[in-house]
Amino acid sequence: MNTRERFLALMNFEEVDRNFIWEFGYWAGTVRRWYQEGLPRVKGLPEDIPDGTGLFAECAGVPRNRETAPDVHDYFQMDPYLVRVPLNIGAYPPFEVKVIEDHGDWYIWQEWDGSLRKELPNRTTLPTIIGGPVKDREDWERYKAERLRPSLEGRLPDNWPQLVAEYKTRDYPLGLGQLHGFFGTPRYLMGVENLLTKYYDDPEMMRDMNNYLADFWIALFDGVLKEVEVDAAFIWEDMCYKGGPLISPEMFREFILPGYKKLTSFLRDHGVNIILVDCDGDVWKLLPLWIEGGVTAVYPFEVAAGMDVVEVRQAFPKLGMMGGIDKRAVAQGKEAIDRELEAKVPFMLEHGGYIPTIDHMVSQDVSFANFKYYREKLNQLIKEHAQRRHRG
Amino acid sequence: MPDYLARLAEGVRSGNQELVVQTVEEALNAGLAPEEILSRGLVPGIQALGQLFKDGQAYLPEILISARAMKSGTEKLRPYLASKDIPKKGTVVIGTVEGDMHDIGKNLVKMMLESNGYEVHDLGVDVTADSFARATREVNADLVAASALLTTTMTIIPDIVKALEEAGLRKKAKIMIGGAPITREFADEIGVEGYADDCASAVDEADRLMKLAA
Repeated sequence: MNTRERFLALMNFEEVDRNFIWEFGYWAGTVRRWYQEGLPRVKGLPEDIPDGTGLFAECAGVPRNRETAPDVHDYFQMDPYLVRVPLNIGAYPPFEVKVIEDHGDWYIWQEWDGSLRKELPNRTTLPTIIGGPVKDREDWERYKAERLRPSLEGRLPDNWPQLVAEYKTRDYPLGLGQLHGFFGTPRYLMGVENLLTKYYDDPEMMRDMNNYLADFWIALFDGVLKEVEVDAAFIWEDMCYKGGPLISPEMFREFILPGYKKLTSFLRDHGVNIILVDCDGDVWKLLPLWIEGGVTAVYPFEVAAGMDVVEVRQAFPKLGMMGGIDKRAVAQGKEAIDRELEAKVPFMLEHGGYIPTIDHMVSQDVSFANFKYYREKLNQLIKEHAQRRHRG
Repeated sequence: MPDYLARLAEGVRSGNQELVVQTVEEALNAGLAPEEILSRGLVPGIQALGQLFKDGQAYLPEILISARAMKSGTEKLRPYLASKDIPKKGTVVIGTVEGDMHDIGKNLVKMMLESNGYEVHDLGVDVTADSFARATREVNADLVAASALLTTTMTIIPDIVKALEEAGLRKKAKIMIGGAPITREFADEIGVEGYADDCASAVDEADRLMKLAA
């Protein structure tokens, strides 16, 4: 099986030759640490990437304007990347990336999507989104008209015709979607606290936002799907923390679910049957709602937030999953790694529809030796499972 | 006489800012004591919401609008309360640890502590261990509340414990911690007395620590 065939079969709970050798991602600082600890530096990382930059790995897909960690990919002989269509589904024209306030030991800058992010100078940590271009309905109407026009103009790279030709003979899975979602994108536009109160303060605007984003993405995806056959769609939310969802399931049903249903229905009608949601935190309460909204797979199942992929599999036998291996166990060492992998991986591989990876970006407290041990052990479990299936 | 106190509690619980401000005004005009409006009207409202949150029946939007209504009500009362000696539960220094810029959880805890009668001094984000110790001394804090979102920044918390010890403040000031990677086990391991899972539990934990100190 090639990577594309394996992905499609696995996410449809069909037999595969073996599972994936894939990861979710790494912080740049982690890869730099590993270079010091024995990871061969062949391609290296650009010097100007701060340690707090997320480097996407294979299962997260190679998204637009995002860095990867090629030396980790090559050293561990990972399977080819899932690729995302380089379609900008956010602000166009983009905002100017610039510093708004410089406080010396921290600063606020404007990202290309207009979100305002508070960050430390060397970006050793994740930024926090404190606001964005939309504060009220007037801003939203202007933003729609100026930045979210449902046209592909300017939203695809110049080499798009070549990419279309390449995609036709591809052996890797191709996905639609970037780091955007029906909660995730409004958060870029307004900042978290403003967004959370807006559901009460201006419910009409929030309904319009959900509906407009669904129609907007459908219009863009429609243009791409006329030229390219796509295997999967990605929605990014990050709307949960360790206490559960940021908003109630009832609020999700009222304000978010209609957009999901509209978008996923369109995607299914156009042959895109695998729809994945990326959401950190404790996602238990949202899983049934996502499934109702047409989602077929979720990742990365953060263990620190109380997620256990074995329990999720028991509760949702046909939900596709990626992730679920506790990064904290990998940081601890061999015994913890053995316990974590043995408790989850054989069961999950046996039940199908699952790709094992660490439950988020690998953090800087994970040594290269530990990651190597984890990866080799996991590869061994994958190999043994495949051999058993072939024998059986 | 209308039941102003019940209306205030309901206004805060449901996050109805207009109702709260209007009812505070009416209650004052009707001759209710500002202390009573606060302690028997506004505070029970935020406590009821805190309980709903702990029971999984309220979420962060409800906490935010409820705290906003509470704040509007107390601001309306402030001129009347300023001259009176309103007892506070305790003084808290709060911040997100060094290297960490995340403040939503910290802000929610601050809102809930303030709404429940604590005087809170917010040091912001990326706060060094020494800054925690300095502020604790300056405001004579009873509690130090530290938040960390990342596995890499939670390792800073033992430095705060050490800084308070070295400043000779550890006997007086209890420490409570929270954040995505933080657990009760971690708190126990590093010798920290308090741990809270969420902003509503943080109030219970602060109350518990204040009793320990008493």
